[in-house]
Amino acid sequence: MKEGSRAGRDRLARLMDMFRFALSVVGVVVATVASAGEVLKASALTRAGLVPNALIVGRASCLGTSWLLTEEAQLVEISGDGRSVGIHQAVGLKPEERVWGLGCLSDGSLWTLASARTVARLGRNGHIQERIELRVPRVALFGTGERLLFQALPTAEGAPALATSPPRQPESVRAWPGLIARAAGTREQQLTRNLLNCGLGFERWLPCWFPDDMRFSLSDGSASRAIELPALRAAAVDPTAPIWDIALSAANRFWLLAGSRRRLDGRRAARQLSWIVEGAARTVSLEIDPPARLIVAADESRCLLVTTQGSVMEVVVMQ
Amino acid sequence: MASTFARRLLHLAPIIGALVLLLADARPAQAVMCFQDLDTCYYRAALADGYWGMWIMGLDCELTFVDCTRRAIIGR
Repeated sequence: MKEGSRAGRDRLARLMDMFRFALSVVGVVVATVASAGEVLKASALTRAGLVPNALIVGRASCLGTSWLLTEEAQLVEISGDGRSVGIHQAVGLKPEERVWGLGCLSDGSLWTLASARTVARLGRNGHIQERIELRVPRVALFGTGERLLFQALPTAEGAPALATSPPRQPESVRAWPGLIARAAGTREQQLTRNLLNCGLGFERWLPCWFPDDMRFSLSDGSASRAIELPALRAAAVDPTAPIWDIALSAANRFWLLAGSRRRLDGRRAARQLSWIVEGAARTVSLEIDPPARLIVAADESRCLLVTTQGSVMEVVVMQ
Repeated sequence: MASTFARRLLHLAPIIGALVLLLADARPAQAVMCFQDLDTCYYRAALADGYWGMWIMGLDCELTFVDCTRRAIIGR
């Protein structure tokens, strides 16, 4: 009788554990605001722990697949439906090389900075296929169409902070309008104030921003415009990193992850996702739990996020 | 020499403070390290032979500094 009772308690405990796990994994949360009758709903597509915990230093999305690169040189492949995650260790790096940035071009090729003076093409299995030496060092790398988008060092105050070049012709440089290198009192300040990040684009349009700014620049390489985000003045938003990530879903609509003041295990992350129509009072927002590390894909109806638990979360727009 | 060093530290203090604030409780020690390493690196670069040697070593110092700070600020 006692054994039967203990077995029952064990089963109940297991069920409770599974229930708690399901709650944390599914992460269905209450959507807020629905100015046009839309709400956002989140659900987990994978179990936790699939995406490595190492710092993500590059992200790209192309030809229906999303790619992440970690500082431990793991190339993470996330399928278009967000349900499959593969990890490939980069092979062929020199001992002194530390990867940074990831750009995917229209032909599907993946490029990273093996060092500030070397651009490397990564195969889909993580193997380095090609190396291009650079005369001018680069400190940020993204992809746009057939060209790599990069930030070179040194930066000149008042000049465009970004430029493009074909991957194999690094000297064939074109300025990328939009972000302008900011002035600073000292050399150290100039270096830190001009660090920048870019999100996921739509067609030729790419959003880029300075980490402490509440606006971002949208550019297609020939024209650009700045988009202000006054909503980021909210108390819960981290003023030092208000824009955590952006993904365009159309030329005038985008998903925005706002940086959170609250840390999770000492790590910064985003706890609010918004779907915004530029120039219209139409914003739908959602508190996300677990918090997000970044966006890996987005379109008009849904957004895929990587969470701090290492899972892939889907947020859909519901009428 | 000591007063020059003190002035340098005083000069860097607001920047270090801003970066520590930026990183909050994440890795403040690392933020301070980025600046300390840069200072040490600049000092070594200043001892290099010739203008170009100093310039190239100084640029390497800045690349290392940018790598250090971007991991804290841009890395996800």
